[in-house]
Parts: sequence; C-alpha cells; structure tokens
Amino acid sequence: MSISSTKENCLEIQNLKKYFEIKAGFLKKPNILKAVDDVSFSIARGETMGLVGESGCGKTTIGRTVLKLYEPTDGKILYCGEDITNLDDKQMISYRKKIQMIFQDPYTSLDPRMNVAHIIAEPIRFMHLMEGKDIMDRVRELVELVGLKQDHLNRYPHEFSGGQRQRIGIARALAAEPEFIVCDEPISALDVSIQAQIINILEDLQSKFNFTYLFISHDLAMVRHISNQVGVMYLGNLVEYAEVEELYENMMHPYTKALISAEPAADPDKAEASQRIVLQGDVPSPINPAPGCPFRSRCQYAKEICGSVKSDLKKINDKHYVACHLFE
Amino acid sequence: MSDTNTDNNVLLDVKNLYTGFTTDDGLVKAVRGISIHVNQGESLGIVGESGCGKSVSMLSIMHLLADNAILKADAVTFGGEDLLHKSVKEMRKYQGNEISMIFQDPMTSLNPLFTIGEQITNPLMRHKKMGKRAALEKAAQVLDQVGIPDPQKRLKQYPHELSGGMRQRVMIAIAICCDPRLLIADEPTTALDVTIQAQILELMQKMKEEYKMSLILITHDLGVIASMCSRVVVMYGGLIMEEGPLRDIFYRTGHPYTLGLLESIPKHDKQRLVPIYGTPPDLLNPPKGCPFAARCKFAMKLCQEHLPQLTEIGEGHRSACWLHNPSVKAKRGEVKLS
Amino acid sequence: MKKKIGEPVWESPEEQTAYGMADVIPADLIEPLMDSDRETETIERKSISYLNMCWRRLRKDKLAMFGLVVIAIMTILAIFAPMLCPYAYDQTDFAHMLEWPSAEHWFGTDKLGRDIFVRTMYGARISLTIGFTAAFINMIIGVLYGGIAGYLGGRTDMVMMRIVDILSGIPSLIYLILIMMFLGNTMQSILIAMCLTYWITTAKMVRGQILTLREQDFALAGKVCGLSKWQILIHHLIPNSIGTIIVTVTFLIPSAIFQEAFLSFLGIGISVPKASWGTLANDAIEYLFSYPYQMFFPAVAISITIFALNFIGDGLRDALDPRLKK
Repeated sequence: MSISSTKENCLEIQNLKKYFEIKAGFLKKPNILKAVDDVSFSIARGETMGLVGESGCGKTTIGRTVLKLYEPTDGKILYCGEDITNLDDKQMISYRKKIQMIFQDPYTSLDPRMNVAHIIAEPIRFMHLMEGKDIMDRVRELVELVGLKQDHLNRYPHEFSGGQRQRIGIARALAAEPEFIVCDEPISALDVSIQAQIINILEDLQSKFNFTYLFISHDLAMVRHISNQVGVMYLGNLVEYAEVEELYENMMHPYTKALISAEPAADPDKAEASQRIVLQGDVPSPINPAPGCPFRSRCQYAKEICGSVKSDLKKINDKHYVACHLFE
Repeated sequence: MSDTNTDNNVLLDVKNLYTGFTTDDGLVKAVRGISIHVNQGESLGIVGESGCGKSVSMLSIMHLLADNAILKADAVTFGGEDLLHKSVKEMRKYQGNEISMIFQDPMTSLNPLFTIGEQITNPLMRHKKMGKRAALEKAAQVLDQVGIPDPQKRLKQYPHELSGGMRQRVMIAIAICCDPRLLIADEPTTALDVTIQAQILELMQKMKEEYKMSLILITHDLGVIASMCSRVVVMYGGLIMEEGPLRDIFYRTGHPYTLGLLESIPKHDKQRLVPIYGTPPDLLNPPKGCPFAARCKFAMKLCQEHLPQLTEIGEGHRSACWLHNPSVKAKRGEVKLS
Repeated sequence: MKKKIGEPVWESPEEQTAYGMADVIPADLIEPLMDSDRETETIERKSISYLNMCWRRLRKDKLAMFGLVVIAIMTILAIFAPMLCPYAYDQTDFAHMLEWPSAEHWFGTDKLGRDIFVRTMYGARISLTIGFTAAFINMIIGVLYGGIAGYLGGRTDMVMMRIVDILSGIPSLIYLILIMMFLGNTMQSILIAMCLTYWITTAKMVRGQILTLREQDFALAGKVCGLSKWQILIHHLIPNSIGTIIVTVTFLIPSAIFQEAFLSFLGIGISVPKASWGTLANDAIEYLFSYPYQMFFPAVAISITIFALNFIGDGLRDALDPRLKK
C-alpha cells in the first residue's frame, strides 16, 4: 500500500525498514530491534507532516534515516522523485544542502567548544557554499532571522538559555539554504512559553521560504497546530495516517484514541469532564517482536486475528488511512 | 489569606523563604522571599518555567540543598513543628517518613546497586522500626497497591530491569510506604510518555485519597495542574506571581505571566500562537522591579522600577501585578486578563 | 550536608518597593513600557570561553598553583643554573672529593669532586626533557590511535584494541632493556623505548571519550552539516576530548620521569658522566651510610617534581571536568 497525494511530493518513503542488530553475546545470533518496520508516507512541498508516538516508537529513527544518518535496512527514500536510498556520504552532500535537521536537545546538539558564529557557519564552510567574508555576512543575516543579536556571535552555547540555543540550531539548519527540514522534537526540551516562540519562528520561515517539514513530536496539541498531515506510530509501525483535522476529529485506531485522550487538557472543566482512556501496561520491547498487531497487548478490542496477522494501512477515505483489523 | 495560615488546618507553612547559591560568578538568587502554605489533604500545584525556583524552594524546606546554598526564612513549620532550625540528623526523621519526595528521573533517584525490595524496606525499617520480614511483607503489599504486577518477583529485581513507568511506580511505592502526611512530587511525569503519564497521575490521585496525604505537585505542565490540583501557585524569577484556587487561575487569571502561559498552549483552531517573547531573567542579577516586566505586554515604566506586592484580588486569590493598583486601573482602564 | 542559615546577602525585594498596591502611582510611571526599553535577549554574564573558565577554576586550586610554580622554578633552574655555576657538571676536582654541603659546593661533592648542585640541575634538564618529550610524543600517538579506533568503531576498533592488549601484555622492562642494549645508553634511545608503549593509556582514554562523544547530537549535526567522518573527528570530537587528553598527559610526565630515573638507577639508562637524577642516585648508593647527602638531593628533586606534577594533574582534572570533583 502506498499513500500518494496529487500534490508534488517533496519527500516520499516507501516500505522503509530500519533494523538494528543488538549483540546477544559471543557467538550468539544477534537480536533484531525493529525500530522502523515497513513505513510508507509522502510529504507534499510546502507542507508539514507531523509524526507522533511515544518514545521508542521509531519516529526519531525515521527522521534520521531520511537524512541518511542511519542506513535504511530496506525500502526506498525518494527526494523530489529521485532515489537517494543508496547514495554514499559523498553523493549525499548535495542532498544535505536541501535536507536539514533541527535536533531535540539544544544542549547536546551544539558543540560546546565552538562559538555561535562557528556553529552557524559550519554548513556554509563544509559544503563550500560561500567563501571568505561572505560567510560572516551570511551568519549575521541568519542570526537576525531567528531573533538573536550580532553580539551573541562570539559567545558559547552554555551561555544561552534553552530557547536561544534552539534558535541557534535553527539558524544552523537554515545556513545550508535547505528545502526540507526534519524537526526532531524541536520543542520537547523547552519551557511552555518558549515552545510557542520556536513554533512561530518555524511557521514564519515556512511561509517565507516555502519549507517542507517533517515534524516529529510527542506533543499532540503542537502537532495538531503545525501539521497538515499526521502519522501516528507505535512500535515501529505507522498505525494511522490522516489529514490533521480528520485525524483529531475522527480518530479510528484504538491507540490514537488512547494517546489523544491521555494528554491532559490545560482547562480544569475539560479535565473534569473528559473520560481518559488509561492504557494498561507498558510498550512492549521492539526487540524480536511477536507476529501480529504490535498494539494488541494493550488494546481492549484485540481479537484473535490480531495475535497472528499484522494489519496493513487501509484506506478509509482520501484523507484517512488506518492499520487495524477493526476496520476491515 | 494570611488568616488561614494560623488555622489548625495548615500542614506546611513557609514564610518568606530566601535561597541563594554562591557560584563563581556571584550569588544566584534562586528564591527571593516566597510564602507558601499547604492545607491538610490539599493538592497544591506549583507551576513555572525551569529556573523559576519551584524545585529549589521545596528542596530548601527539606534541607536537601547543595553545600553552596544560603538559606533564610522567617518560619518553616510542618504540622506545627519548626523545620527551619532542625539539624540534618533531625531532618532525616521527616524525610521519606512524614514528608516524601518523588523526583523527575526515577533512574537517578533509585540506587542501581540495590534491589527494589531493599530500597522499599529501608525506610520502613528505619522509620517504622519494622523487622525485615514485616517490612518485606509491607513492601510487597505497597507494590501491589501501586499497580506493579507480581510484586514478590519485583522485590528481587534491580532498577535497570524495570521500565520508566514501572520505576516511577516504585518511587511512589517508596514514597508512600511510611504513610507520609505530605508528598512532594517534583515533575513526576515529565520524563514519561503521555500514556504512562496518564497511568502515574491516576495512581497518584488514588494514593492521595487512600492515604489522605497532602500533595505538592511541581510541574511546568498546566495540563497536569488542571487535572490534579485544587490550588495553584505560579512562580517566576524566584517569586510568586499569582496564587489561588484552580479555576480562578485558569478562568479569572490575575497575572499577565499566567495569561502568557495559558496563551502559549495551542488551541485547536490553528490560530497563530501567542508566545511570551524574550528569555527569563538571569537570577544572578535579577531585575529591580517585576521580574516579568521585560517580557510583559502590559508592562509600564512602574513595573521596571518597582516590585509589586502579592495582593488579594479575590477569595484566596492573590496576584503580584501593578495592573491591580487602583490608580493604574483609573488611568489605563481595567485590563482584561482572562 | 551543611546548611547555612543567616541573613541573605541580597536585599529583600520588599525594600525595593516604594509603592504599595493601594497607593497612588505618579502618572508618568503608568506610561507603557516601550519595546526599545526592554532588554530581553541580552546576556549579562561576561562571555568566557571553555579554556578561560578552566583557568579560572585552576587558579583557585592552591595545590595545583603550587605545583605549577615549583615546575616553573625547576625549569628555570634547569636551564640557567648549569650556565651560571662556576663548575661544569663533569668537572672533577680531586682536591675536594666527598665534601659535605658548604658555601662553595651547596649540595657538596661526589667521589670525583664533581659539584652535586650542578649535577642535580643538569639532571633536571635531562629528566624534564625526557618527561615532557615522552609525554608529548605519546599524546600524539595515543590521540591518533585512540581517536581512530573510537571513531571508526566496529571491527577496526576490535582489532586495534586487541593489538593494544597484546602490547600491554609484554612486561615493559624486558623490551626497555633490550632496546637500551641495542641503541646504547642515550636520551634518544630512552625516548624511543618509552614511546613504544606509553601511549596505550592515552589511547584507551581517548577511545573511551570518543565513543561517548560520537553518539552525541553535535556529532550527528556535524554530519548533517556536510562534514566527513574525519572532519567530525578533528573539528568536534578531539577538541571535546581535550580535557581528558590534557589530564592523561599531565600524569604521563611524572611517570616518564620516574621511569627514566629508575632505568638510570639500574644502570641501563643515561650513562655517566652525564647526570640524570637516576644516575646520581646510583652513584650515591655506595656512600649511602657515610655520605647520605649525595642520595638526599637527587631523591628530593625527583620527589618534589613528581609531587608537583601530580598536583597539577589533579587540579587540571578538577578544572577541566568539574563533575568529577568531590
């Protein structure tokens, strides 16, 4: 099954798989961790796809595999229709200009020994986008674009607050003049009041430069706010995929329902009225997963078939796909 | 609400607490004179951004600060007894017994070298003078209560063998096993996923009712506050900005900072978010006036120069903002905050 | 845990408040605050680089500063004392043999009438040169070896680390003696002998450091920014392990000095009439009971140098990585 839209695709991934081998011990067969198991989706130019799920569901792995920071085990990654799955590091450089990334933790993603000017100039220098004095001019321009000041350029990352660091990270991603940005939980390490700042910057940049985003987050409200499409992941699988309003208004997969209802509303009346679905138990281990639906161990609707056959994503309507035996 | 502080109903009462840390750069003024009280059986939420002093103030009360801390208060009383002048040794009788704490990261607050059983029985044997066997029995019973399946097996396991949610359950088990009167939970669910967070919040609510504890919940998540607390204290820059009953804070907001926090949360209408611009103040040199003045959209020259006092604006609802001054109101008109 | 209860060192906020909530406020203060008056993105603390910060911490460490001063004095003496002294290190004077310390011969003379002060200072030259050079060469080899093993990881790392295991399995004294016998008793041969295996500690430390650093987000970010593996290693990983490297190297210096003294003491290091602290001690051993001062001065020189270097190493470790301090 492949999800395709009529619009021009910026990024398309087809049946992407990323397995990690976990050493089990000397001469033992390594365990297989299925971080991403057969995921397909596409993102149209200028749009934002949100990818939500709990930690360990494989959303970060997808983001990193798209950038070829991890080698995919199987499947295809197409960028503007071109297959970049098997390119080596050298060939990837021309794509790294177009595909950039904003990292989750603004405290570890900036080299503590470099000052801000060096950090932001790094992509420009190493991708040979500019030479000499132009680099610093460009860096100054970028710093102002994210609302920092020029006299911040000589300072080191530890002198900044979390929000300011994240803006430095954004400026670095912009330096390569990308078209597509993977935002890997860009706000989850930040305070609430700062999160909105960063989201606004991302939205402004998108309307200014027509960026395409893959927005990875566990914050459902933020994903609803920023995305055009949303994919819900569980244990390496895409269990539901839909246009954003369709998903939040008409969620179908039992996991999506539980996830959305579990998020506490910042409103006492709603909190009191809401019927929270509290899932029992923990997410099972992705190492050597059992066959069948990954969610069945916590699903209150699990049927016999869920234990043996994994459901594929099925089209409900043009805007909505779900992988669950309940909808067959 | 100063009169309620003298009530018999008050469990923990902190008056005018100051905490600072001496660093290479100078004195960082983390808490700058706050008064907090918790009533018997109440759930108090303390909300604020990182570095606003919410955790430090609780650690100060528990005498759990690092060596470079300087502490001063007019009074800290717990159940009518003074805690401020207790020695470290005397405080141990309270820690984990009458007052328990749960921290954000269950992995770092559990000792990796000891089994779960040893870590739960330890406070039982120390505070409740239980024998080993009785303590183990009680431990299994508490583990069962916090929803850990197969407690007998878990008692023999080490923290790394458990998942994040399970570890936080164990932390709660350790915290409640001595039947505390006050549970302080410092960002108990921040490190957890939403579905696990829902489990833990539900468990804390249940335990609070079962054990008739008071609860202080420190968090930055207004959603958690809304579903757990009956009274809220909003902190910023080492000071209390606003405090009051839950619904007053959310529906009759009395401070621009609280309003800013509420507005920062995305509504479901795709409207552009309203962030609070700028960055929190550096508490090494806190601003002279209101700490929020530089980021406040209603700020006046007054705010930069003079610190507003916490003033009653409704039943049990207090706010530290110049917008509540009559002459400011007369000049600017009533500013609608909610 | 100690807790200090006392007056706060800062003024309480109430004192800054000239107006109460019910007071009448002057109209000019009620004017809205202009955006230009707001300074929200300014960082007030002075900008300070990592090395600067470490130096500031190091300066507070009295023992480390004492060590630095001692090593500085020792270096200056080693360079200038033999030049300024009226005697040469190998100048014999049979009229003044085995003399106790005096105004003429500060540390006395040995069995051939050579001045022990000059010989000790000359020995400092040899010992310090060997210490610093050996540490420097070993640092280079260790950083490259450990860096490559740690960064490439996988099979390369496995093979490289097994080689290290084999090398460190051979007792060092055996090949030290062999090399000295082949190459003769010179400073160069001591250096070569030491450089064969001394880098192993550095390599292991650097490898460990690189292994943790390469998983950090900033290393990944380097890849996204178009850096090649080697560029990431050189621009990000090695600069971030500089703390570990410096500390390991500071501890290498005293052990190299000690090793040289030990070899020379056994008679397989520097040979007479050249003077190293080890040969001086070796010379003195036959007169240990009758003329103990001959042993005393070189021994003291070795001890204070090694103490001083260890103090510096400890101080640097705390300054470069304050988390380890406790």
